[in-house]
Amino acid sequence: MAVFEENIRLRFVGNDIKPTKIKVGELGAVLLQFEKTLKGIILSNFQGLGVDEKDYYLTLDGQIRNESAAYPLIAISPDGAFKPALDELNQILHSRNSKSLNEKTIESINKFTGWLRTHKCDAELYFGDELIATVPKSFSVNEDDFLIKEFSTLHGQIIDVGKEDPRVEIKLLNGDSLFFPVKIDLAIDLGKFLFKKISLIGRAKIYPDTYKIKSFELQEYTIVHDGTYKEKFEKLRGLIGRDWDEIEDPVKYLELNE
Amino acid sequence: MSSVKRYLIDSMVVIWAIKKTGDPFKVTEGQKFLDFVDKNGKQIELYLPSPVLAEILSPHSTNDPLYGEILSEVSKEFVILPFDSQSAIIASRLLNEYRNDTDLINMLKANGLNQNLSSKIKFDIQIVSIGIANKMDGVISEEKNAVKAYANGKIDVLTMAQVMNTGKPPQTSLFQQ
Repeated sequence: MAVFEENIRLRFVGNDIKPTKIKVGELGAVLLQFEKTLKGIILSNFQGLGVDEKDYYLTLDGQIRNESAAYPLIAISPDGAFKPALDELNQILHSRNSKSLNEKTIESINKFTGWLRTHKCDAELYFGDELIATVPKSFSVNEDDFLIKEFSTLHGQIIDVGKEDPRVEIKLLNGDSLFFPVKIDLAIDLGKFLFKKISLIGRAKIYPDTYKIKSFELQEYTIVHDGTYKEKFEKLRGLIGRDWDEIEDPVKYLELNE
Repeated sequence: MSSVKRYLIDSMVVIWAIKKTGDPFKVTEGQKFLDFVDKNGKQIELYLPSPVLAEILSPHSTNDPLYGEILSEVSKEFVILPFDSQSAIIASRLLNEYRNDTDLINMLKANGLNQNLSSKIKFDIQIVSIGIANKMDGVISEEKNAVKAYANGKIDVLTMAQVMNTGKPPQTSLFQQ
């Protein structure tokens, strides 16, 4: 496997910051968040293509300069993906929008810029000697801006309704559990349908990378009747069976050939 | 871990389960299939993808004043899984794979399965995507080979007969009869 080594420099500037003002533990923590941010962007772009997260990492190049606080880093990867990731980070800084931002990457960026605010400094990101981006201490990403907001129908079984501020726990078809708050009247209604199949309609906020639902605001619900499939299809036949009985060849009909 | 098997069903499965006229073998098979599912005592669950709803309602007159009630009744009897944004993203990936998979396209051509590509593939890929998004155990389709090809190994695709014939070894090649 090819190994690319890209020279990146992370330089903190402002507030008279210098290496002696940064503790070793702090440095490790902020570099880790920087690495996680870039890796998050890279891995989002390769989602589902079987890349190994362990192949992408930063190492410290040891030549710490004593002006401001500049940290030469060597970015190791099998494909030279760190330069595009730096460019994309620059794009995120300007537009606050990217398909590559997911929950964890947003958390890493915000921890990184939180560190900048603690030290009242900004960060400059270099690729070789080229300044790619400046991260201002004021920068933060609002997770809500990156969530999919959708009118959704969720299907599953309610497995719990309760608490002082009532909330509902539903086990979704995909196996996930979701908690969401409801008003007391609705909690009383839903409590009657524990373990019944239910369809919940409402507004959902969804993480775009994992499709996990962050929050759900219930507007309507439908209880799916128990009963055998023979009975269910007999009811369906009562509604539309005659239409299909009149069609000689349903395959041709569906192909719009009849 | 739950032993309940959850399947999406395609339009022809629904049609043969409600139709009383036409191919007598298929009409009988549709009823046998429902008996089989019910005899398995809640170990098999069937779900309707919303595009299938569009097809099965299509012969019904939209002038019927009770048209809206039909939809309401169906939603009380069946869980209708929508083609939502997650399904759309999965569908876009499957379409992208399909466009770039010359072997798959050639195989479909060789088996006469790539006709009416634009509409048919998009429809079947929507069904498959809804199944993947909802982590279904499979899609039950009477057009098994075509749907299986579009599923491209991402989700199991079975016929009604295969679901009933549970002891039979699983299909190992795409066009095995």
